[in-house]
Amino acid sequence: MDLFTQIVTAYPELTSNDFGGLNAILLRDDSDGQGPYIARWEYSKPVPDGMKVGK
Amino acid sequence: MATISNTPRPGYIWDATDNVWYPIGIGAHQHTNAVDTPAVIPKSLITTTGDIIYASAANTPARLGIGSTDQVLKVSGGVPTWATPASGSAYVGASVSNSVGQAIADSTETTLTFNTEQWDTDGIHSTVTNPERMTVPSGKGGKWRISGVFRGSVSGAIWEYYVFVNGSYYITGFPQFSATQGGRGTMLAIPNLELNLSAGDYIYIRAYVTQSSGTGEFSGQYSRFQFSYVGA
Repeated sequence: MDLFTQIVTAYPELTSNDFGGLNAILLRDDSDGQGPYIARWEYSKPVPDGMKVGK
Repeated sequence: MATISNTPRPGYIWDATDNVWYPIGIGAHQHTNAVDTPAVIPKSLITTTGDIIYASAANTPARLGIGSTDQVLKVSGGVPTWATPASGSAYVGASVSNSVGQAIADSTETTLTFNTEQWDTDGIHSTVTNPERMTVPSGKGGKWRISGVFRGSVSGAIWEYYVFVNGSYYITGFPQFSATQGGRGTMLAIPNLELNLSAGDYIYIRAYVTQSSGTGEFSGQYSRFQFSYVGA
């Protein structure tokens, strides 16, 4: 399950419109082998359990 | 025998029947020094095929010999001269692709990498170290163009591409080119953007797929990321 799916599973009210762009959650994959991570968390609720912002 | 006027004329012709010179023309004849002050430009001034006559000074005709093949006529010191035109600047740039498709997870900005070079004139790209980057080579600061074609696939998606310069958004929060998925599952985005960069600056592209039906694929084998020097 990719990171996006994990987040929308934790917060089903989130849609793709809540990701990317300005003032939104930003997921990023630097293609450096470390996989995707939360680069920015712009949401009223905390990051889901077991997740963090940054690599 | 005809009566001949004594009025001076420009010229005379000899009549063998009458054994006399008849005047021709209107006006007086004129004596000039044909060597020092010729009334016309002598044919002897031009000696070779292609010669051109020009004025090297007021009332001073001069010969300009033909130039070489592909030379053009220029002005130097106020007079014409043949010159070889400056050759066009040599192309500087790189074109890269990826031998396999790259998975782009939904709603995740993903740095595109490229492991294949079609050409790279100045060590702009590396397939080993930072294979996502295009780096401006030494001495080539100025305007650079991003072009090529970016192909992605996944149903129902919107694809966005963000240009990064030295690790930062070129324009924060807004893609520089994008495409909406067509009905046949193929997305083509055609970048055309010029950046003002300094030697050592580097760029890379991040792809973003949203509203897709699953993980997208950036089809690097069918794509080309091209970066070329426009000028200082």
